[in-house]
Amino acid sequence: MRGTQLQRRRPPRRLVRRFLAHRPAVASLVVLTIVVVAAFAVPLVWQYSYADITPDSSVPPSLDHPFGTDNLGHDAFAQVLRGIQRSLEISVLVALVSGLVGTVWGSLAGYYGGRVDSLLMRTCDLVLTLPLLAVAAVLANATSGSWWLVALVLSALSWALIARVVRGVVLSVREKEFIEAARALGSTDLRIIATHVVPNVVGPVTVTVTILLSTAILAETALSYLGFGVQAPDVSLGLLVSASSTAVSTRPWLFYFPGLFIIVIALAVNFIGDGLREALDPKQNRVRR
Amino acid sequence: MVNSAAAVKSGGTATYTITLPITNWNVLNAGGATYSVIDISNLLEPSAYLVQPDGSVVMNDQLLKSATEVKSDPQTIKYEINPNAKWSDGTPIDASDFIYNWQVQDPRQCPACAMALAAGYDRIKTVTGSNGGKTVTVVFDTPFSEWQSLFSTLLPAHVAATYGPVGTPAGRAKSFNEGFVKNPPKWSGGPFRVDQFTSDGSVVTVRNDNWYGPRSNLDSIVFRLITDPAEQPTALRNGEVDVIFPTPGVDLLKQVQAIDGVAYQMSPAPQVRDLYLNMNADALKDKALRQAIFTAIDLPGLVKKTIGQFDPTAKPLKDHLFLPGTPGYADDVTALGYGAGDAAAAKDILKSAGYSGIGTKLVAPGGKAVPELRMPVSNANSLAKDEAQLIKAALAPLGITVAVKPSPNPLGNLQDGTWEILDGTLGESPFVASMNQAYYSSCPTGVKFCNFNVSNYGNSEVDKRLSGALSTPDPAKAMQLLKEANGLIAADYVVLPLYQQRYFLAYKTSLANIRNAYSFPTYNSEQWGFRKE
Amino acid sequence: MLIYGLRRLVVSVPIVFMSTFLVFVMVSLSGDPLANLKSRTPPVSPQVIAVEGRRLHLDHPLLERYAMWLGGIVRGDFGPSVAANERIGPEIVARLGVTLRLIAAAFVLALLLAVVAGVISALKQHTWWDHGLSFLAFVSLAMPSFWFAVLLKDGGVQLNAAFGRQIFSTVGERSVVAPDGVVPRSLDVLGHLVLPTLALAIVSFGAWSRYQRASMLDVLTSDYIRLARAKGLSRRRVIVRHALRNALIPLVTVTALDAAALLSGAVLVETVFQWRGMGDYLVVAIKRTDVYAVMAWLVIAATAVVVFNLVADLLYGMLDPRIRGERR
Repeated sequence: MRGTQLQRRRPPRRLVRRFLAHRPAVASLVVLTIVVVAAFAVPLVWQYSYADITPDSSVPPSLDHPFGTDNLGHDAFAQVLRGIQRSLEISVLVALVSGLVGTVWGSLAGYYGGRVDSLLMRTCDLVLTLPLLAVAAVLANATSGSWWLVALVLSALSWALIARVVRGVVLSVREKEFIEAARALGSTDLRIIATHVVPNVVGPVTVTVTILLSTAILAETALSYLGFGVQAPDVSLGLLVSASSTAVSTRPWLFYFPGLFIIVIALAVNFIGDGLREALDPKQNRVRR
Repeated sequence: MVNSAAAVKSGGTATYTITLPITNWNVLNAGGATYSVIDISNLLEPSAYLVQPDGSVVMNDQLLKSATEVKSDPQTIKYEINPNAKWSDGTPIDASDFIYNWQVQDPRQCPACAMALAAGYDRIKTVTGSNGGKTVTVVFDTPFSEWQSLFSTLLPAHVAATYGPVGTPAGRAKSFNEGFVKNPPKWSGGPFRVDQFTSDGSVVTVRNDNWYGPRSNLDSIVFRLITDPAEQPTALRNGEVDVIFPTPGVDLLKQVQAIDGVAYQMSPAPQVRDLYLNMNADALKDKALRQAIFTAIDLPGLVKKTIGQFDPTAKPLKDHLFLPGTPGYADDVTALGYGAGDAAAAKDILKSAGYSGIGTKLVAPGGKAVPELRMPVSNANSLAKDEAQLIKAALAPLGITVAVKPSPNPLGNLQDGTWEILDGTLGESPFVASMNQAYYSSCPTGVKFCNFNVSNYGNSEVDKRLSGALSTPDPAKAMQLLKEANGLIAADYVVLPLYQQRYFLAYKTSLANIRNAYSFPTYNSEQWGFRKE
Repeated sequence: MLIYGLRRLVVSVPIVFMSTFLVFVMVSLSGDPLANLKSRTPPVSPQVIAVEGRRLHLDHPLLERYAMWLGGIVRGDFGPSVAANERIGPEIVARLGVTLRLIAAAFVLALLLAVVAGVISALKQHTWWDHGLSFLAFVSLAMPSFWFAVLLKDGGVQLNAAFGRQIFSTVGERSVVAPDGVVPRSLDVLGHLVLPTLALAIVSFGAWSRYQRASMLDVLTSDYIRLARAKGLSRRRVIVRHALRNALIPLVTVTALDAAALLSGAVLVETVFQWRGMGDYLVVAIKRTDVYAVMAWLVIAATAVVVFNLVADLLYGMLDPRIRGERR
């Protein structure tokens, strides 16, 4: 059937080769892998836990404390590692939840069209029209600052982006002959969506979700700065960098290290997203939307 | 004056930083008594008595010629107002102002008035004027030993009359809850008057040429609103403001220290930080557990890691009622093991009280496990967050789990009763009995949360002594009663005093005669001035 | 096209109402507007607290409060603010003016920078110019905006110190007491505007310059540009008259949509630079559980977004005749 051909048009091996040709993306993947592995593995062997209160208060970076300490004597290195873990957990949860909801929502809208489409997409428009940061602040202020609640709030405001992308793809696929053929052969809607529509959607969704990963980290940082994000004693990169925004000139180690990791992670994720997009769609060398 | 004035020239504009947006202009109103409004009202509203930087209380000799207790039964105070004392529009300051200020702060005279503090006014029987209004006689129906606290930051009665008829409770409420609240003051009884309230929330004040006191040195003081204390040192460094008065912190101090041409003062504030245990919680009703908790907490260590980070002179607070440096201050708590940081002693206390599971999962003598203790912490207060972590760490070795709950509003938890441990700040003043009666008197029976008795602490012996101290005309007797109350409170292990808060003032060295003070730096605004070269 | 836009507008009205209801409920449940009053030391009497509660309609059940709010909105009344001396309507209008100035300046700056960077990148594809500008765009996309704003502010202060005079201001949108004369007054406003504008512009610059680069590349490889070149038109003329003009069309649409996102960015920038604009208004309102103030903000912001979307649709239709009538 032509549907399978449509998928076969981009065999994984070629996709991988194209991705590998995108050097910044490959470099980013390496860097990101190192950061992630380090964030989860190093704390197992590092001499301080993020919660340890050492007698060294506010000391600059040294061999004992590579990233220095804060006024309670928390080891900033251990805290940054923990912050990376938490920030990654938040962004991955956001990506998963909004990826899932957005895909289902967009597929339904695109596949059924008409009134269903109209209703579903107007809801999307509404969510997209709400200024993300502002509404997230309102919502997050109502929660108690648990990391997963912050993540859910961010998901609630970003799934619509994915829904819109998915709907676009589904609309273009829906009218193809192989769908007609499948329907003529008696396939159920659900089956058609699962076997024909979803595979075509995977690519664009992956790209959008990748970008969401970095948006989520940045949004969490902004929320923390305004005081509506993750709350101590929990630790996230956003919380670390916002708690130390007063320390730029006095205890710079507290401000620059977590900030640097936010940039590195977000940058790497964006490059990977770019690489994926080019690999999936080499002709359309187009950015976003 | 306490400090001698430095040589300054006349003229110039100083910019002072306020942190809270002004949402209510009436400093006597419950919603108006914020730092920003107090700062500004010092320039506008005269007081009968002034609290000096050292906490002593002296009569305001610009406003009053004399204030004397002329009779003890019934207690009667006679105030003689300076003949030339007048508001900026020329209206004399007289008995009508005293009457208005009493009536709006006495719930019996104005039930609907949203007064910040009724203490004392609710014991006044009559206020009468004579001698053309320049003599005021105040008669009490219940004696009030701290009468010097009354008639502070006076509002003008003749302006009130333009907002509502001051002869009726409803009219008084209208002027007090609306008129003075919503309208930026155009009047003044102090060295400056408000010229404009700008759209960015700042306030421009200029010299009040009609003031009866010594002419101010500065032409104008601008109050610039910078809501984030962290941004204030930058503004000072960049020359956009001349004076900042933020809540202190480590980085703030270091930033200020690095600025050329800026001096600062860090001094104890009339505010205390306490740790409260919730007496409504079943587990905490056992004194042994409370004693063990207070014994396990290392208070010197906590002070060193929090407030000590920016003020190395900070010491643990040892007294429940009195501030360090005041005559009544004494160490009531060290002998009782408060803040000893002695985990072994704390374990012994628990052991002899019949607790089990010490060091793992604490179980009360009756076999009931001690539940996790919830500690709500304000999202906005980094010092509180740090303290919570230290307390959590100190109690872990006993087998007590502290669940630190970040909360946008710990007060909500306080009212809902969803807490077991809380640290908070309470304001104190030289008028010890007035303030502490609200903090340590029993709540009415059956009430679980009443005003500022945070812990729902109740001890009838303490109640007796606090109200006795407020009513006795004899200062020595009052002191004796307060000290007894202090001892009783300490022995009950309900509130652990942590430390005295700090005021932090930083200013350009080109400015002189500016200093930290009990009643805020603007208390002597007329003396501020730029140094002569 | 206009009809299409208006139809979308009509459809969005009930949804906006639904969302105001949701937000109203959430903000109302998120905290106690009287908390500040109740937490005063010395303590405030319960009577006083009750009076204030009535002023804020807290004596009515939640649903009734929403109905009251809705009724008020229709009459142009935004409801009572927790701040007793503040009327929400005039206050938010004044703040809207402040924020619009910031957003407009940042919008223009970001657009200019993005077009220049995008065009250079596209014309010099795969050169170091392209790589450098692309990297810059990516970094700006990866940077927490307040982090950059804090750095920028620090840099501005140090520049001032180096020059020995106050060129950049870091607090507010103008001096409290403005200097006399038109020129000093304008310079005062400008000195306050520069750093916040830069901080806000960087947020949009990254995405827009990438977009411009892509659409420029699209156009440059299209048949009609090749045709124009083949006809013997100069490269410069082709680029400016044909390529740039066509490549700008998609960018303009995107920027109109993104203008709303600048409202979010302004929240952070206004906090760092202490502007009393919409962003500051929102943050303060959320912190004091000022339900009606938050609602006013959302109504204004949602309106702005709907308008911007409409503008984007119209622009798209006007600039690109091929689209007209095609979209459903």
